[in-house]
This record gives sequence, C-alpha cells and structure tokens, in this order.
Amino acid sequence: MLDTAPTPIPALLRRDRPETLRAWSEYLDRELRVPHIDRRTVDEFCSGLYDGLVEALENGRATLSDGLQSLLSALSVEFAERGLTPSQTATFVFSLKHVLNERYENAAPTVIGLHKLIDAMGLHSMDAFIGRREQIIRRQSQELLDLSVPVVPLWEGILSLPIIGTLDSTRAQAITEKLLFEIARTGSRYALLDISGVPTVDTQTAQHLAKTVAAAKLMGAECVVTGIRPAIAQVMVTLGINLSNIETRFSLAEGLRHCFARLNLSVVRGP
Amino acid sequence: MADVHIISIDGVLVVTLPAVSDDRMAERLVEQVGERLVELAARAVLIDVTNARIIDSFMGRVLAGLAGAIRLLGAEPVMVGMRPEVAITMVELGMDLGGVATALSIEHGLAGLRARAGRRM
Repeated sequence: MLDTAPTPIPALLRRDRPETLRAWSEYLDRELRVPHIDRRTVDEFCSGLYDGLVEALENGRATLSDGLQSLLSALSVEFAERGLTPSQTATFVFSLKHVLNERYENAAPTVIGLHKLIDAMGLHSMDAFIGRREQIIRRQSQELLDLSVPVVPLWEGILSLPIIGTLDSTRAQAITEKLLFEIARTGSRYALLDISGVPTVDTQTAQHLAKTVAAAKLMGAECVVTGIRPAIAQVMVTLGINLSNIETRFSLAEGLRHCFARLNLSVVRGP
Repeated sequence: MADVHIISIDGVLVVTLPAVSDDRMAERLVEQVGERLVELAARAVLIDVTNARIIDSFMGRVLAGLAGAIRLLGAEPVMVGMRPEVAITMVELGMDLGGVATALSIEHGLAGLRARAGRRM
C-alpha cells in the first residue's frame, strides 16, 4: 500500500469522526429517504458502523469482526422488517464510501483497504437482508398452510372442507392429514370436499383429490367432491381426467342433499 | 405371540388384528377365519384393524386375500377402524383393498350391515 499521507488513515478517521458522521447523515437525508426508520436508530447504526470500520483498519484486518457482522445483521433485519428494498439497504452501507470520497479526495489511492472493508460490509448486509426476508416468507407460507385447512362439521356425521387456492402437493398432504384425523375424531361418515375456490384443476390436482378420497374410503368415510364449475368440468374432460369412481356434485348444497339421502334424512318445510 | 381374536356378534364375525402382525399370524389368518365362518354360518365378517399401526404391502395383500376368501364363502367382508396414518400410507403405496366395504368403527360397521340387510328384506 502506498503510504504517502502524513497522518495514518485510522487516526485521520478518528479525528474527523464527528464531521464525517454529520456529513454521512446529511448525505443519507438527501439521497436515501428512510421515513419508516427514526433518526436515532439510523444515527446509531451509522456511528456503530463507522467505529467498527476504523477499528478494523487500525488492526489491519481485511475481514469483518463478529461485532461488526452482528451490527450489520441487526441493521438488515431492521430494514427488511420495515419493508425497505435490498438496494436501499445496500445503498445505506455503500454511501459511506461516497462520503469518505468527497472528504478525502486527494488521499483516494490510500483507502483501497477501506473500500474493500466497506464492500464486505455491504455484501454482508445483503446476505443478512435476504436471509431475513426468506425467514419471513417461510413463516408466512407456514401460517397460510395452517389457515388453509378448515374442516367444518356441517351436520352430525357430515364434515365439509372448503379448499381455497391452488392445490399443490404440500397442501394436499396437509389437507388429507387434517381431514382424516377429523373423520377419525368425529366419527363422520361423509365429507364434502368443496373445490369452488380452486382456480384451476389439472391432472395433478385431480390425482391429489383422488388420493384423499381413496384414503378416506379406506377408513370407512365417503367423500363427495363439490363445487365443480362448468368451465372446470370442461377442462377436466379435455384433459381426460376420470373421477368416475368419485361422487361429484355441482354445488355444496347438492353434496349435502346427497349425504342427507344416504343418511336417510329429509328436510321438510314447516307448516 | 401376536394372535387374532375372533368373536361373533349377532351372526357377524369380528376379527381383530393385533398391533403388530407377523408372517405366521398372517398365514393362519385366512384359515382361522374360514373355519369360524363356516362353523357359525356368519353372513358378514368385520375385519377390525384399529390396533394395526403398520400395514405394509405384504399385510395389504393378506387383507385383500382374506376379503376375497370371505366373499368366496358367501359372506360380506367389511374393513373397519383403519387409522388415518395407515390409510395415507396405503394410498401412497398405491394399495387398495379391491373395493372391500369399509366403516369407521365396529359400531358403524354393524349399523351399516343392519341397514343393508333391512333394505334387502
């Protein structure tokens, strides 16, 4: 490294700390508006990052210390949760470079080590940001899965299961398990699988349905698939999907009527 | 030794499978059920699998064979009380019991048989 500067870089940075931090803060206000995050938090992150950076330079380290890494992770998690974009998060870290460049224009060649560190900081914050996002996505899909399997008793011995949304293999498995356990728990002989909320039915969806029905049948319960819209019926016929060994009905009401008939129940209008 | 319990209720045989079935038990199953069926002139056989926690492809074939034998002897086989996890496994393995009637429990099975008999008379 060329060392032409009279004062070593870390000492210089320490000396100029208050001014640089102020400049950085102003730069962030100008270039990157983060209204969802309060000033104090931003300033805390800024001074923390700055001190971490100076310390790394003093020790001649080219990698990030554990303290700096966890600070960056905390920052990224905060930004991800507040709904900031990845580029905003990266810009936040990389903007320190601009501030330092503006300030030490003449000493630019001597701060290659500094640039490397800031790049590493930016990359780490990116990793942490994406990791957090993925965590959020995983949690949400699990919540969705839990929400999406409502098994509702319609009548004594008749369960209904309204399926809403695309039926992929993960959901199909969750639905099958839930339905079968509810059948066993309540001793219901009939289950209505309502697919009016399923946007499209392809061969795979049909196969999932057939498996669910077959498993319920093994237990001794009969399933009726209801809510098959005319358009979906047409698609199923075109695809050659054969549900002939499964009881199907146009609407949930028709399915219920079928179950009543099988249970020898009739609905009579009052006098 | 895991053994099969066979009792008779109201002209119906109830065969209860043990939790874990071994090959020897499976071999003797058809024989024992057949003997009792003829002896009591039963009109139906409820095969109670409530206790069975595992039904593998071998056991699946044994059960299908048992149901076929019962039909040949002129009685009606009904599989009762299969556990949800067993049902899922059987479907995933692509096994079916060849259209044998099923019921949730012995009670449901007996009620179903009674209802069908009533309709016939």
